[in-house]
Amino acid sequence: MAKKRASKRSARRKKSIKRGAIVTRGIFYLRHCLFWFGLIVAAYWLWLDRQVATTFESRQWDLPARVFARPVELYPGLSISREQLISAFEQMDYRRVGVVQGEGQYAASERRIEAHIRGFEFWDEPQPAQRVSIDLAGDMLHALNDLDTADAIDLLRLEPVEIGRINPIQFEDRKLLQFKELPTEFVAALIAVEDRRFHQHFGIDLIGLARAMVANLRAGGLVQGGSTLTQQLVKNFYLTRERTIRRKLVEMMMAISLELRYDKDEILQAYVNEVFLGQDGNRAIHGFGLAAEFYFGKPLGELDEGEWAVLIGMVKGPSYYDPRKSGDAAKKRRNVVLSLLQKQGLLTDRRAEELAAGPLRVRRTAYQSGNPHPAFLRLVKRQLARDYSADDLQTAGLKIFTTLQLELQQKVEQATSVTVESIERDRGISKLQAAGLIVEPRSGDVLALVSDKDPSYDGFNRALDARRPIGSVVKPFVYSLALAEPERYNLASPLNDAAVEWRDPRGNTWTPRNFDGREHGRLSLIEALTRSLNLATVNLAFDLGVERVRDHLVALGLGDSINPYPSIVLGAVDLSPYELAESYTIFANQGFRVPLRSIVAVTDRNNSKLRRYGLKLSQVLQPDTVALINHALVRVVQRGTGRGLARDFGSDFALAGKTGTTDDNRDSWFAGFGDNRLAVTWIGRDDNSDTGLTGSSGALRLWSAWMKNADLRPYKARYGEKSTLSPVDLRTAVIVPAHCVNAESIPVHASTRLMRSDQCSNSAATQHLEQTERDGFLQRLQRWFD
Amino acid sequence: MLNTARTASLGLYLVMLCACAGNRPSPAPIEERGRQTIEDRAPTQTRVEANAREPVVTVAPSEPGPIVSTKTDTAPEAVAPLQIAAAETLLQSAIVAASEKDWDRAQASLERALRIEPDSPTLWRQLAYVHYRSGDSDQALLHAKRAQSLSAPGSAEYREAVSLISQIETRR
Repeated sequence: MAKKRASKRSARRKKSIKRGAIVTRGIFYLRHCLFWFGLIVAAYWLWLDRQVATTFESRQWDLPARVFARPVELYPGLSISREQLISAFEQMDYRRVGVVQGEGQYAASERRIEAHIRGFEFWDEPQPAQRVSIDLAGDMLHALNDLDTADAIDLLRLEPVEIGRINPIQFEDRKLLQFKELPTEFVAALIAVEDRRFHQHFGIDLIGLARAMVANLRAGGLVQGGSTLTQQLVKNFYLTRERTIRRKLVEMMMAISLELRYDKDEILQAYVNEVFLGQDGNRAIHGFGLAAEFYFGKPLGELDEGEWAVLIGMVKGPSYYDPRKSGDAAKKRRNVVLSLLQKQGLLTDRRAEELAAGPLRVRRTAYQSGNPHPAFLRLVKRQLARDYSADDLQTAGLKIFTTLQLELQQKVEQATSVTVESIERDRGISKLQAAGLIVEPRSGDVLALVSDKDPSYDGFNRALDARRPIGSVVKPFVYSLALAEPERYNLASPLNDAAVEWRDPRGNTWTPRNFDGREHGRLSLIEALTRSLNLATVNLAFDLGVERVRDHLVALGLGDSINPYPSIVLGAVDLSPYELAESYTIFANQGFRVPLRSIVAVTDRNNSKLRRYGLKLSQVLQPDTVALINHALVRVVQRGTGRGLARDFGSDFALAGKTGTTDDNRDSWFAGFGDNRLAVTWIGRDDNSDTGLTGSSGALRLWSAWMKNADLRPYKARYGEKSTLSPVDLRTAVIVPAHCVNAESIPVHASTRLMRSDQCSNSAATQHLEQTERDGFLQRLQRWFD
Repeated sequence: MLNTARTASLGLYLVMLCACAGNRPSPAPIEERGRQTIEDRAPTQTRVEANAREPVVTVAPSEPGPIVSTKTDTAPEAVAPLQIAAAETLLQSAIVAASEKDWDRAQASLERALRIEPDSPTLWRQLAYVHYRSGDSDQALLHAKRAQSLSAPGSAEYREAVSLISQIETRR
């Protein structure tokens, strides 16, 4: 019994030992499990932490290259009208106010404009933000002063206007802001609405979470998120959109990591730049910086509380509260935000009510959603493609500073549509197309470029790619070969305008004709160029040697594949408007050819210079030769095929230019320049059919319409040191007394020998060969100033 | 005429020296010349003589100290001044940039100035100097010729440009 009992007891003990062992073993296993689980979780967390650490700092958002127009520079002595100045401020989205109170505002009275200029980080010299006054006298900037110090300012460079971006097909776009650029009130408002305890929590907000859970339980569904700003950032940065418990836990762990590693300001800065705030076609609007511009057309710092409230309200549902597409919802949401701010003491009751009663004030048209000047942008992209990969352009955040003069470009686009339509109406023709460009001749800067009568057309770029025969526009280049030999040729040299025949190697006969179909006989070289006579030009070319003319055109840069046929001297040379404009810089720059450029500099996203595109010259003609050619080109406008311009600009406004018309009126060209502007215009049809237009009746009209708004200054003659203005009777090539009826003052090169007569009548007795003497220094100086 | 040639050749001597000098230049004291130009600012390391006449600029050897001017000859004829203060300001920025051998910034400032005064021979000549000092004598020569073509024949600017051209040509 006892044994039994004892054995029972021992069995019980055994059992209890067994049970104890199981428990111990269970605890042991559990501890093991927990240990391993903890280790796994810790390892996972460490891995997440690594991720956070490595990606957050090196996080570089992809940013498309931004393309800027040439900045407006203001300085005393600048000729600018009040309207131009106001339009410049409007382009930059400055707000017109009665009294200037903040950046991006201007106030205009009759002769004075006051503005608070926004700063801009130019690579060469940053422009600080500044309060300035601009005084105008007529169409001249008279004085420029700093309103705070009352000091005179020599030069002010306004921020450049963005004219486009180089975008991938689908992309996120943003305008990055630094924490220090964020207005404190905005930051306070954002925190108040999205994460009240942002500055207290460590990444997750337990109190907020508990409150949200209670609210959700009460409501029996998901009504409150309880996500902190940090969690939202993590979600956007690293995670997918799925909503699972596991993802939520990962999000929390990463949020804590982020908080341990970075301070609140860094996290907030990343949040402000990351947050998604709407869609614009294939462009996703990210960050408050871009959203402020996209919805309100202003930098974030210039928005008022009501406008912030709209944007902050959108975080909850960017498409649902889109202020453009669903104004009512956006307004309601804004007012919820406003009352929240009011409750938290961030807005006075009165201000909140005032704002809540106000309209949304969203900018109607989407800000810079497209590229408003596609033709010019194409030129820029082409130049960029030589130096940068597509990937760099779409993601590296480059800033491209171009030569485009925005105001001029807009006027030129408008003038093109109007002029082409009016030519079509006047002549009863249709389907005309137009292209051309305006250039600053000294620098080669392309100021404006048009490739279609519809400026928004972004297809075939006629200004760059339509290579067409240039017709008589080539003649000045041909004549420059003759005039480069002043011993042999001069402006008064007699040419023979008589029919010729030429047989090409294959036996085809070429018989050029004049535009009027007539022969004009013997006349002076300058007269032949003025009237653009074909037969005289062909005879001159035969005299010079067609091969030599061809080589000369190649040396001037008109193309390498020019045929050695005489038809080239009448314009059987194909050039695009762009190439022709570059070739005409030779005449506008006294024989120096200046390559055209559309880009001045490229910087990286931190505004450091990557590349600068500087001025490069080559000299292809002597200034003395060009002085003679230009004298003839001015005469073309005064009394030749270009006289339509003299009508438009006044006969004492000197301009140099040349018309061009090709066979069957397929192409109408005009190339011309004043002192500070050069432009080439072309009108024709894409199918190459007859337009019925000559250079004078087509392209010249367009040139005139463009240049009326281009701040054009008259051509300034510079005769160099070797030429003298002399009164010459062009019919006989004899220097005659200046008072003679037939005396025309033309520049004559020192190496040119002309007959001189002391009588107006051209009697042989008084003629004698005489070298034109080089006159004294004073006379030369005076001539230069004439 | 001799005078101008001498000053110009002095300018070029300085330019040449600077091209070889490794030291960061320090600005020259304001000399008799009212207007500073880029060539005036050229630093030197050694004693320089202009056209074998009296010594003009002396500096303690190997020490990048301030340039001591003992210039005794008369100032050259005044060249055409810039019309607009903004262009002058930019020219001064270019001079500072050139003294730091930041040729890109010097060129950029001069090109901005040229946008304001496109026909100023002074600016074109300064641009020629910057090209020269940055080692591009082809563009230097062309820019000097451009300066000449924009100057009134016989003017001080004209002579400066002509002598610069001949100096560049002989030293190429």
